[in-house]
Amino acid sequence: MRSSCTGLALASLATFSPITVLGSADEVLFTDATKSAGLDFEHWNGMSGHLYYPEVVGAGAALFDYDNDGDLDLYLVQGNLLGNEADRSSATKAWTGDWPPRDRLYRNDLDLRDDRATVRFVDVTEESGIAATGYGMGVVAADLDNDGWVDLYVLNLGANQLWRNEGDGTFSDRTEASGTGDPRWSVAAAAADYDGDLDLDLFIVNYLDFSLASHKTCLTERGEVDYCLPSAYQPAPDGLLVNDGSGRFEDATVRAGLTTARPGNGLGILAADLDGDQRLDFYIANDLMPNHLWLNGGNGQLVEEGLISGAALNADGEAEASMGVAAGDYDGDGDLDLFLTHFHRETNTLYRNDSKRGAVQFRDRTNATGLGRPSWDATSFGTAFVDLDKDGWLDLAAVNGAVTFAAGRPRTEDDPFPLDQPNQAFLNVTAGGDGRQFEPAPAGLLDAETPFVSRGLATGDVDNDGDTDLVITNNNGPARLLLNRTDRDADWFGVAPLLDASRGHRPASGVTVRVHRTGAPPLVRLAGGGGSYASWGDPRVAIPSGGPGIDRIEVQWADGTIEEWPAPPPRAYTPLVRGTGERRDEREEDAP
Amino acid sequence: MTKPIRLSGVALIIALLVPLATTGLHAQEAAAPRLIPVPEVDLRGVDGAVRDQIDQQRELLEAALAQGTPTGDDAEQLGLLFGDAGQLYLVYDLLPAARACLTNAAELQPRSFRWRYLLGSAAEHLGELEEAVEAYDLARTLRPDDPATAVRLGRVHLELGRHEEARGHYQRAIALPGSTAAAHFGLGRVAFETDDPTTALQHFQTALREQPRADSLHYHIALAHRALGDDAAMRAAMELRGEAPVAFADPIAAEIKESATGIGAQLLLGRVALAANAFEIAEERFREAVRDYPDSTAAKRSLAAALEGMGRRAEAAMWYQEALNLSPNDVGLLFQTGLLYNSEGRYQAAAERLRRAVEIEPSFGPAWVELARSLGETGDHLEAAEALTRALELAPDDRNLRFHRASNYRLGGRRELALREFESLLADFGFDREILLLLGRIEQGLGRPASAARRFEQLVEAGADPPLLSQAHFELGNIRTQQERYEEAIPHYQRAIAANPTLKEAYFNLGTALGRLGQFTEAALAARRALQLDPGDSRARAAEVTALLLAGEDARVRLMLEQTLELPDQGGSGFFALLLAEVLAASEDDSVRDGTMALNLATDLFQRAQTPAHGAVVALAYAETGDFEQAIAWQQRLIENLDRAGATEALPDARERLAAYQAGRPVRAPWRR
Repeated sequence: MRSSCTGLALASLATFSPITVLGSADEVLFTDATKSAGLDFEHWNGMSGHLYYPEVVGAGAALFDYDNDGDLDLYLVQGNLLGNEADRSSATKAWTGDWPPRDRLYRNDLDLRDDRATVRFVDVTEESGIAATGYGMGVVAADLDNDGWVDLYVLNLGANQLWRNEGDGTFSDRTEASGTGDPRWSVAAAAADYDGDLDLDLFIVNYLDFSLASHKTCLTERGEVDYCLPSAYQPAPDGLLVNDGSGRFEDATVRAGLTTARPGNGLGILAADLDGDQRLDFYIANDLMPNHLWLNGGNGQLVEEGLISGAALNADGEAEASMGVAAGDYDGDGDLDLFLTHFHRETNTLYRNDSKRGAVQFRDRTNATGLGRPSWDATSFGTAFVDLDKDGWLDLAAVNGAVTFAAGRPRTEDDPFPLDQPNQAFLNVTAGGDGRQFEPAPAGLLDAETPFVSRGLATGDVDNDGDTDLVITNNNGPARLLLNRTDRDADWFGVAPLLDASRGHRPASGVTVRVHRTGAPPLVRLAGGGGSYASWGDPRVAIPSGGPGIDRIEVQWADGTIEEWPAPPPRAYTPLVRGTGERRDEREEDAP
Repeated sequence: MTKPIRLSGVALIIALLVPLATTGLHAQEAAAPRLIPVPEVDLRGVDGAVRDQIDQQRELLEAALAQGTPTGDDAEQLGLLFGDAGQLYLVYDLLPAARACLTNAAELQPRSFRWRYLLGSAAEHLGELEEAVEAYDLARTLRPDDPATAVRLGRVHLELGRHEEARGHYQRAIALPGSTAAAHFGLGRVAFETDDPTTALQHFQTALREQPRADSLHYHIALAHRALGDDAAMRAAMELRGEAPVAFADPIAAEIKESATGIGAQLLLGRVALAANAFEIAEERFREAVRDYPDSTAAKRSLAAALEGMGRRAEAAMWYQEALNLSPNDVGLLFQTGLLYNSEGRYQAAAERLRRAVEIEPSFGPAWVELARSLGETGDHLEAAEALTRALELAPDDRNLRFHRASNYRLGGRRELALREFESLLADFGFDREILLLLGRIEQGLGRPASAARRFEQLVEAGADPPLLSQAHFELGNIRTQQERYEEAIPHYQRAIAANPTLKEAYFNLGTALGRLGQFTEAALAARRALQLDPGDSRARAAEVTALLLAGEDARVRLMLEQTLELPDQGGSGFFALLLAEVLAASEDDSVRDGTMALNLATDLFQRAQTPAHGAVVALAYAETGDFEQAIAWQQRLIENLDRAGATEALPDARERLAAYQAGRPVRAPWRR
């Protein structure tokens, strides 16, 4: 631990100032702090002209506090070379680092001076002992062995890896011992307590049954060789690993009912209570196949209700090429809506949650909210509901990059396979009809001078200033850190839902945080639970504290337990440890 | 993401043209089309056949653009080239280039539905929904009843969240052929999005009834049931859900889509071969495509087009018909087939296809024009004029269409209408010699020889090309002949012949005029010239022998008639045989007469045709053989018949002949009377 920080302050009396509502989208401001923070990670996909499918799929990142110093550190997933060693010399982008390429761990040495934080990332990969040299795709950061230190679960093309956080700055490979080395092509996973036993299980999303032996050459309608679409391969089934509490996992895929549904080409996942029954559900974004919504029956059984819910297909009744997924209460009605990112010539899709008791129901509101048209030409991956402009309403960020060549687009020697696309943000504004609409934020808000081929988006308050910063990963390009500099003087408060704080920190996952306000509907936020694309974000929640007064904070845990705490102090993240709040109610159906 | 980076040759030439078109230095230039540059597309890595095809289209465009700012027919031609290029880019998913080409095509051919529609499609695929609406709206003005346009407008408005506009277009689409299910589906979508699941359910169910194979509708029905709280119905409907989407009649999109997938490659190879004039290879490719994709309209259409291009029209017609069997409502196919049949002279068959084309797409101008051609050729001139009226509704300023309509009015006997149309053409477009000639003829037909003569004289005074000048003199000669002013008629006919020595009618009428003036030898010579131009013209032959008879050349006439009767019958042989019998019986030349031969011939002819003329010749022949008793009996029967028939004008001559027979005198050279 190198930084001095406010840490996770205890709750105390707080005063609140009115919410600052930004006058226009122009006032949303991000600073590219990649260089100043010392973030020098370059993703390498090993592209050598063979157009192996996995080259364009990775990779993601995780923001997590590995050293329990109260700030977010960064883990970045790396690609590798596919095919023969000889192909290394023909790679379109030369690998300049030590061989083999490996994932990197950056420690955040947050420097707080004059009430302003400076982010400095230090590459601690070597001393951490992490040697993740697989062809990486995604990552999950969660305390999987209940020891109070956040571990890493890395998703690969090939066997996944579990890196156990030893609590001393080092990690050890516990893949084999934990039984988590799923050998298939995994892109994302969610660590969440599916069975309510207070440890985090792993729902692993697998993509396609691909191997170099089964590699196919695909052609466009113009007869040019291009990366394949997923329909060229068979889908790889997803898996559910149940934690025994000690960090050892048992395969519960069949027992939980996952084999009752047709496998999908899974790329994205999040865990949250989506049907309002106070149980943790899982939503899977499938590429060009109907998405899955696994509703938790509370008896160890998951039931796939994607089609029934209306969240599997868009309003046209078509399966889309879903990549990333985000959950957030965009319309302030108290439940979590879903946002899916898609291929170009498909819109991204917003499913409004209209579930009523006992009847899960989503409605495609993409067109009505203005989200369809701006995303038509983009292939979007990582995404998140984020209050970019700090007005209390959840906005959207989506990072983009193609996976197939744009027809007729000029190619150069330097970039023979151009796939870059600009990223996008959409601001949640007042509108008629539905009540909320999204307007595209100014172009370039999330871009460097030239666009990259973006994939992962990990969100979190990297500088602990009460807003959401972004880490964007780029395929065959640099990872970028964007710090939110919007209205830095606005008041805020933060909460960190923890399963346990007796030994280190055990961030909860997939819990619903409700901020009850005087004379206004509660603000609802999802803490943890995954989402985005191949990435894992900050399990804490920051809320702008202007406007109506805050009455209390309510946390709905994965097992359905609801506790509440008084309003927390401003300008700090207050830990809300399970069992320390006032128990509010039991599951509605269980109540007398 | 696609970005135009640099301009191709096409783009550069357009860039040069655009300032010319927009500077407004000259009135003609100010009206020149505004063309936009076509973005360069990088074809590296693209299949060679595709690249060649695109390059060829580019070269055609560049060559056309190098000619400078296009106007008139050139602009039309350039529009076609841009449209073809746009379609090609669309097939290969090169959307920015497709959009630019189709924009230019629509600019150059503003009345082309196809370019507007495809431009809308390109914009829609690019996510430029406002531009798509604009293009589809313009397409709609050209074909208000096109079902695909209505459905697509509904869909784009739905995507834009404009529910009222979407509803309006879908409601319009309900009544249009081939789009009812899609319209109800769209209305259901609108209702569902506006929180009216009851109405949505009704529309979805109606759509399913209209198109039961569209089993994806069960999904929407299920969602509507769910929104209405009917869980059991929702689950039952979800069980029935399939993947088949709601389809609607959209032949243009189907054509493009078909070209872009699977069969596209085979067709492409064929088209490339065709473009290189490698007809046999093209035919082989298309035949392979037909074999591999027997349900492909495009394959059969392409094969037909190749065969047509090779001049094998009968085979082409067969394959067009095969394609039509697959897509009976494909307007483009109906048109192409009609065109081919017209060129083959199968006008009835052409008219049948073209009628179907315009029934389906009433705003398809070229089909109306081609239909008018078919109808005109089959003599249905008034129907042809009506078809041209429909074409003129789409292109009111088209001079040619107005001209052809007026011509059809004239040929259909609606002379007053034709007169007004031609006069308005003169008023709108200025002096025109051809119209003047036609106006003269119409005036003549209306019984206004003085007015007609003025028109022809005006034409003669203005001077004209020999064919027109010849016609004008010919008509003037006719007017004077009708007025029995033969001396004035003759020089007009002679000038008509001088301007056009092949004008048979002028020789014929000259002969008539000369005959009227008693110049029988000259008349016979004129008739002989007409006969030389058309040896099968029996009228000319008759005129010649008549003139020779009147000139006293009986021996020559006998010889000519005997030779004529040895020829295959070309019409008029009965007349010539009877005339020969008459000459044999009544010539003043003793060496010519032969009573027995005359009698045999005359009685034989009478067996076949018992007319007064035949009876009179039998009487003449009996008299020539000296059998006056029979001659008197035949002549008396003839007089009785003429009397009964009221043919009083013939009686004096008949009685005169009877008197001669009763006096024991044969009759000589009765034709001189």
